[in-house]
Amino acid sequence: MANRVKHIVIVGGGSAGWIAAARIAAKNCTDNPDSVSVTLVESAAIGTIGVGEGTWPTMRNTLRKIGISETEFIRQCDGAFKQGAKFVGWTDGTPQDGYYHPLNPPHAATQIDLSGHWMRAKDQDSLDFADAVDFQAALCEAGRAPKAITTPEYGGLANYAYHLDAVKFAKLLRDFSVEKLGVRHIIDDVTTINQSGNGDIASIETKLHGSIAGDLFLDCSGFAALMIEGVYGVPFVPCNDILFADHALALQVPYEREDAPVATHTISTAQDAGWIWDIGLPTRRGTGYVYSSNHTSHDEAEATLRRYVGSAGAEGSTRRIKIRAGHRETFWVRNCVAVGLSNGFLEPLEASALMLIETAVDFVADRLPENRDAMTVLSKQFNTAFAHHWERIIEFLKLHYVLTKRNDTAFWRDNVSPSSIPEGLKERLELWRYHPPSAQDFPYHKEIFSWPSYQYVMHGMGFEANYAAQSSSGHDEQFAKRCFAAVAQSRQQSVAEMPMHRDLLNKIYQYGLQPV
Amino acid sequence: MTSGHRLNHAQIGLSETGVAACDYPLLFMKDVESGHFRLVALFGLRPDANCFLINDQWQATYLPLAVLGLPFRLGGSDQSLCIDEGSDLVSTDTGSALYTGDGNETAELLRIRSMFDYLRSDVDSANEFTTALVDLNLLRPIHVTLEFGDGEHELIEGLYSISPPGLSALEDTTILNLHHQKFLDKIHIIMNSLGQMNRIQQLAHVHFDREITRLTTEMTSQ
Repeated sequence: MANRVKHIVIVGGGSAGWIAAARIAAKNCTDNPDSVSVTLVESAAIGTIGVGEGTWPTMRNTLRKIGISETEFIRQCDGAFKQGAKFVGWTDGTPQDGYYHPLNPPHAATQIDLSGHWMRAKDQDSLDFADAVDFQAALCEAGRAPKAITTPEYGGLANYAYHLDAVKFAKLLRDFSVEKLGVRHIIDDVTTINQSGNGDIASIETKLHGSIAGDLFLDCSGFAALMIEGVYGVPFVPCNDILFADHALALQVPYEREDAPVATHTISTAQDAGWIWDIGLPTRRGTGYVYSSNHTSHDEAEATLRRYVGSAGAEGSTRRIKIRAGHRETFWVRNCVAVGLSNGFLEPLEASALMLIETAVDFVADRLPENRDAMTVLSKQFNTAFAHHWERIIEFLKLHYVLTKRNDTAFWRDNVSPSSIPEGLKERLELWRYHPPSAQDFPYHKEIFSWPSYQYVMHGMGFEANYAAQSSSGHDEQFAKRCFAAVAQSRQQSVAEMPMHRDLLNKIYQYGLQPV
Repeated sequence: MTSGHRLNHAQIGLSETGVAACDYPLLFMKDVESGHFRLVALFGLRPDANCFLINDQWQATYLPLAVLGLPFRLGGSDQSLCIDEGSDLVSTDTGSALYTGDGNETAELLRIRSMFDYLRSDVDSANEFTTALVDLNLLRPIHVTLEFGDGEHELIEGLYSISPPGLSALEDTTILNLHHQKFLDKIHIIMNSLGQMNRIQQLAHVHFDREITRLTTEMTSQ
């Protein structure tokens, strides 16, 4: 067939470009000379942003599909295990204010909703929601790993994702793609982009390597958006009226001792005009202040971050990154797909950046258009899915802000102003005062943040709901009691049995994990 | 011989596979410290239970060297000779002396040393063999399910064996290499030794308060 899709050209070599190259090649390229080929063009001059250091559990599948062993990944990317996030100071800013959003769903999630039962039991045993319905928050609090050295690669007692060094991660993917998967890697600058008569992109011109033709082009050029904006002029839809943060200030912090504990969750601490992330790698911590420049000055932001890290980070220099919160109006135009920052970007509050890259790449790699006609239909599906994803992710991030009871600074007061809250979220919050978030609220089959995430954040922040009136059979009551008892037992057992996070990482360096 | 009571498995050397398989199921277990696979002879289904030891008598014809050598064992990062001083096989007034009056090693200690030197290199061979199986992606978890007379079930995890479909799918040249490395016969011995799980079921009644009516092994395929 004349219009078969055979040559995939990826422009840009950050996390997005290399995840795309590796996944598409691993899934679609064979030794057959007629097979699909993947070419990645990246500029030597443009660096990667390299602050996306938290993943979703989806990354385990992505790595497995690419064919990289978990041991190699941990060793080469300074990888660590992430079991969720702890939000500190978001509810009222008092010293004891903190809650977990673990990656495990609540116990027996497919059989029972424990929200109402937890609320009724709360008066007696005052456990936080996350602790009452699952053991993972206890593992995080104790600094225990989600698995042991005897657990196979990519398996765990508890669900987990990763913290990683984004620059090293792109390098691992690049080396693996080029050496093992046959991806053609060209380091060159793109000078012009040529369109054919029908408006498709036909080829890109490079300074040293001439013209590179392709059938499908992935725009992984980051904020530059060389194709989706440069060629097709697709408008950017900002959402800074909902999510106010417009800058991040990043600072790497060394550990005070070589054997200092490594946190196994992201710590997100609320500040006067935003929040600070704190991510533990085995080699260092990565911290950063995500803030709204309408609510603080850059100098104040720097002082805030330095105050947070204390003397440990005094030597390091900060790096400021502009956050342009929002996304494209459409994401796949003709034969060009925007993946990564060219597709959209939000503050890294729930580590959505790498996960959205994986979601986009799954879509392209697992159903690589067979021919040009199929591409048109697939692009429609893709655009519908991504419009939905962005809308719901923005709502979910906003959820973290709208439930605050803080009114100490303008940033927090402005965040609860009704005009900044999406209508859909307002409507659902009204419903959720009487019914806990459930699967019915999230009918999209590949929903990124579903009801467990909403329950963890809402109950974590003391969302005022009244589920007491909900009918509950005696049978349900008994089952809920058994669930809480089972969680209490696994909380104790897992904390006793799982190794300390750093000890496990050291063992992985020394012995490796077994594939089975 | 009382010290093996709580021993539910022993690591064996590669040359022991043939004889050990006449009595015990041979499986792979993960070392708790490193997660690495070890070739073991299985004596029991629960952590501290040895089904083969009944009234202080081993119900077997072959004793693995690691058992024969008790209370000595290989330990530490360099697998040097160690002794379990707490063992009731150790005594300070009776039995065989390890050192002579002037501080030299006795003939008995030298005999033990040479036995463990042999075992050390034989275990090294078993580890090379195991590494080859891991590299060929042939090891798979085996789930052992015990069914009791009262209908209750118990699942035993942490055991691994060689995947028959995995073995069948190997390239001809790989099979030939395994044969030349003298690994191929060991692979078949280990796979067939799973039949000895029946023997464990037979002997296990001593350690369980109720009768095991059925024991099934299932390999989880991935």
